[in-house]
Amino acid sequence: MAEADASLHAEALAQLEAGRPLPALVAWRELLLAEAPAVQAHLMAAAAALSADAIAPLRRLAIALAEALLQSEPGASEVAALGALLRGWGELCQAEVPARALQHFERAWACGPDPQLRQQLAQLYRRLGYGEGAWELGAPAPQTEPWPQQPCQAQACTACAPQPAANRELGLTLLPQGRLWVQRHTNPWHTSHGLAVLDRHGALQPAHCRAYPQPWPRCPHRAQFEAQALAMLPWGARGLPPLQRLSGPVLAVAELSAEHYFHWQGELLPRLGRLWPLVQQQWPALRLWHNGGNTPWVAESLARLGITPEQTVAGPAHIEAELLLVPSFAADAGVLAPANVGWLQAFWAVEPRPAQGRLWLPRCTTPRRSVLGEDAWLQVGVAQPLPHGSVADQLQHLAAASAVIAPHGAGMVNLLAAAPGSAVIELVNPAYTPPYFDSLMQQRGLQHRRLHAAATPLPLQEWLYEGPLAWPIDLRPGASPAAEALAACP
Amino acid sequence: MATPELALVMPFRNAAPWLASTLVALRHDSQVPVELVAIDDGSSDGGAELLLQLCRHWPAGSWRLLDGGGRGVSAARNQGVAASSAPLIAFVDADDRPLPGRLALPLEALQQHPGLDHVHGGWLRCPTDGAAPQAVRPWLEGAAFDWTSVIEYKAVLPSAWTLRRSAFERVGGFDEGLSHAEDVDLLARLAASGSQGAWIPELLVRYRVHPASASARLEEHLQGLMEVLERQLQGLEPALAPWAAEQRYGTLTWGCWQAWQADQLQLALALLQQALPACPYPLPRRRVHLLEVFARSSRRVGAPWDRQALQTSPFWKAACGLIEHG
Repeated sequence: MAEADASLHAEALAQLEAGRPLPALVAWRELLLAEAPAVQAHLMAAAAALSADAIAPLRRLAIALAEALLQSEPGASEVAALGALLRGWGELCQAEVPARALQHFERAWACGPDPQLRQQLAQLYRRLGYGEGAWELGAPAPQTEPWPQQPCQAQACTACAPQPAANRELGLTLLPQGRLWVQRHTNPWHTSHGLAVLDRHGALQPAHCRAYPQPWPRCPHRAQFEAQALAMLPWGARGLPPLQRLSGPVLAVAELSAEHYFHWQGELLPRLGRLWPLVQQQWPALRLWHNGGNTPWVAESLARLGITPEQTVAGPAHIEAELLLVPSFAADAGVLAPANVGWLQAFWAVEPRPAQGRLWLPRCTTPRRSVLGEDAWLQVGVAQPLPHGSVADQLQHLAAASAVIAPHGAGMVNLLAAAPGSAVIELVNPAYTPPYFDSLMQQRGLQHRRLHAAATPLPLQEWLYEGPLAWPIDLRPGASPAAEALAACP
Repeated sequence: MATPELALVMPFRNAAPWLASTLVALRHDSQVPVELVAIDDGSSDGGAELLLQLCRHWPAGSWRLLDGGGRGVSAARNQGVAASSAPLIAFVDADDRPLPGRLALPLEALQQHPGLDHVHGGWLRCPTDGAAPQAVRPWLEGAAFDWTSVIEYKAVLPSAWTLRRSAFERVGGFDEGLSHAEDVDLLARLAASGSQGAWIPELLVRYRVHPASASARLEEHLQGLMEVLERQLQGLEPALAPWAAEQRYGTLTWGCWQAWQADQLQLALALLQQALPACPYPLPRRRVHLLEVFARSSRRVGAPWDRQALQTSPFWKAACGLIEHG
């Protein structure tokens, strides 16, 4: 993204925050027109995915606003649309990311205050610490949860990320009448963003609790993050479903975002698999509780482990077990520990074999994280797409490839099966390059290259997407270094 | 007589009504051997003669009176320090009344912690209009002595402050060109030079708060404070620009509260107007922030606080008009 674009965008935001939406929209129109082909590609991809989009109404607003600005100068209706869009984004993240919600609501204010917005702002200001000042906008609720402080960018920070992944000793804690609950996002995706384990007296067990945001293992602010997680978790208990009491012994394995393939495969499954046979031997009536959901990959994994549906407690977010057995975390959050990778390779029976051919590892099939221009590269045969199939099948295909091209995504955890020495080209949005797979590739001895796709145009970054994680990987031919490298592939 | 460990530097100008009680309090403080250096900074109320009378029975060599020539409090304090020889320096303004421990506690702290360059106690804010005294304990609000904290809190009162001579001299003492906020300036320069400070978590002095007698005086004081702040914020790296903007805005809105508190409403609105062009907050937060500043500042000094009365006042309407429409 050109510096001039960033500067114009910052200027537009300043105008908006000062209560002047029209000049802001004029500046954004200029930005959209300057990158019209990229903007159109993003809008088309978002429009095509609307039928399966959990936040389709909001996305429609963004598409309509961008299209209107591409067509003509902004007026009152665009100001109103911008206000509605910003309020929508604010409401989406109000519960879990109040700082972002506040930013959206404060910007929406310029587009026309309304009583609901006043109240939402009053509440957030009260939570931020303006206990008296908040009354200027409305009557805030008397008790509000603490404002989460983020001393650094957590796992978005690259300074302390590069380091070898470390194992942690895998142990088991027995809690008679132990309790566990999972705090799920209030947004439509409902993924786990807080995990709490409590003893029979209701005391949190810090070693078994986790909440977002999570820092890297050597983050200097780690203690602050941990303390904050423990302070915030009890507030998450307010919206829990009724407690489900379970008889007998229950092995409870929870991970943050375990509903996503990466966290299931890379974190939860090995933690479960490494312990299940041993624990079941001691407690034959053992049942399993986990927060990974019921996707095909979960079913396949459990079946392979020999865990039947009857042995599984289906998905309550709030349980108490006669005897709760909780394994310790096998690694720091988001880290693919060598012991876990080694177990997965044995579990999925990954066999070394002569590697040949170039494989394209597609991003997950959800519309949330699209890859623009992907078809163009597959059509010219830059690589063979990985065939759909079971996890076991996909791993076997990967084991047989001499090179893998992978838009960054959860499926890259399957590189645990890649042939040692094979090449991996990781395609990333330049604003989202988390090193989640670096340690895995080092462990496997893979030749890793990371290539930047085209940047997501401003202001679509903020209008059309939840955040950098959801920004598409734009591989349109000729639009980025990644596309140039793909074009040069023999 | 051997040089005492501690010199007490006391400038005064037209402080005759309070000199006796201040000196009595000092005598009663403890057995701390102290070298008193009083500087008459241009009194016309016979204060110098009174001091001579009050000290005439003090041991010879334990006190002296200098003529400051009316050059201002910074010059008077520097003059007092230069005329003394003790390695530690305590300040007291003649109209403030030291509390027990004012001299003994800092002396003990600086003797026990050789790495400390200066120590500061709390103070009892005593309005002369009869309002209840209010304890000021800046350490409870998070104030510290690193440069960032000094700029954010500006928590300093010379009458509760004790320094090593070496630290004071290293940064050149008080800036005699400043007639306001010279104490904040010195504290900031000490912090910037890496000096180490610490709180003595006790109230050390009764700080007499005179009513802001004239609009011009309060305005001068606030603009003087802004000048010191600007001097400190100049040349900061660009990454700190948002923080610097918050400091400027925070200081001016606090000044707005001060003027409102002193019933100088036009000055309050003028200060708000001065603050707004560089306001770092989005539009809806500006009123919220201002109301919060007023509430916290009032509570800090124990002033009565009635949010609804403020919000329904013509002043608040005018302030909100400025915020909304510039």
